[in-house]
Amino acid sequence: MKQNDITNKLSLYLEGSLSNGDKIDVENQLKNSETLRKELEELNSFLNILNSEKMETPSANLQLSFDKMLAQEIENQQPKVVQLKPKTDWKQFLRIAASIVIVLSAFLLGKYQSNESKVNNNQNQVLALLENNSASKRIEAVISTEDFSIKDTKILKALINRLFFDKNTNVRLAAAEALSKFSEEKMVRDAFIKSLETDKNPTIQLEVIQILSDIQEKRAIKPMEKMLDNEETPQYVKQQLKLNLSSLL
Amino acid sequence: MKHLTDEELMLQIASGKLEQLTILFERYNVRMYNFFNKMVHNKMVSEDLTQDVFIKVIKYRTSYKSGNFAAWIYTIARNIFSSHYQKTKKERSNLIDDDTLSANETLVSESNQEELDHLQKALLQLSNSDRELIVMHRFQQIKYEQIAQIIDSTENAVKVKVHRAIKKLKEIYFQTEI
Repeated sequence: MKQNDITNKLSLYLEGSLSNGDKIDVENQLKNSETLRKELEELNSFLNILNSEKMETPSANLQLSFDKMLAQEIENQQPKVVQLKPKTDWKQFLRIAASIVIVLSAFLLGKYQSNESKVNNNQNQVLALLENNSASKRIEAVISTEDFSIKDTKILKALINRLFFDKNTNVRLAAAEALSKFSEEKMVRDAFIKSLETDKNPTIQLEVIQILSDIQEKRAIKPMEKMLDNEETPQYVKQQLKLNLSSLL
Repeated sequence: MKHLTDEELMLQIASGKLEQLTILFERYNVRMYNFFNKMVHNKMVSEDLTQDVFIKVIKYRTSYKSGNFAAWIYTIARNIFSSHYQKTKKERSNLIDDDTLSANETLVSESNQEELDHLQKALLQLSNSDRELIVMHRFQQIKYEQIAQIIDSTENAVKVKVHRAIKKLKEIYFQTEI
């Protein structure tokens, strides 16, 4: 073994971290060499100096600044972790879904409500117009009720009201015409019969007689015969009554 | 909590339990501080660099992959020392000149404290890589196997390197003393 190799192994020998073979080797060389023994001694005393070094304790500042730093990091960590968790992604997705649902439902609700209110508005408008001071406005309203395809009792009642009580003949006439479209309603039929009994205006009488015979209302026969017997009934109305009574009988 | 190994604690830290770092700090702060103090021979700077080590541990906690924790933290410490060394290259060279000057003035070292001062000065004259080997092996009692892991070398190579470094230090030590 070379001298160099041996000196390299001296510190390991002193540490006791050599393999058995090498250890015996080194011991043999030591027996034979004075210089090597001297070097070992020197190294040993030097290592003792090295070993006498003690760990120093850092000042309290280190602990303090560490605690401060860690507290800061833990604080910073909170929002970050929330963002990184996949759980949050799911929540985010839920939020987006919820907002879509809200927007959609608001849209549908608005759409549905506006339709509803449109109908309501129309109905209210017509009902208000029917009460208007101006006769022509009332006629306009009566005509516009023809747009209501669905039977609307409120509108019907209002129309019947016009037929009975409107001061203006033309409005009553228009109401009668408009009502004739809903003649399958019992309420409307009753109204015509009552109108025939009460209305004194020949124009209305003629119109109602016509409608009643058209809808073949048998209950109209009695009031019609009564009108025929009435002295006050004008001749041309009586003529019309006779004509239509024959079709009803 | 105290019975957990360094590795178990570090994995907990990596998964977000930062408060566990307190235990690792208790276990390693003195060693880290002494490592730096031997390397730079400045208490204030050593404390700052020790603090940096634990900041880096938090910063790179997710890159820790259940390896030997001591090796990992010493790798961080070495990197911190090396960047500190680069940053202060100019100042440091002046500092060392002063040190060698005063080292030559100290001729007799009777008491233990003087001996240690002298050793520290000799240590500072070694190259960084030699000095760090001696610090890790002699002062921090890290096994050859672990040093090999830290400096990315083999165990046998480390044994030889450590021995040569000790020999160099011994020569510097006795040269300046006489």
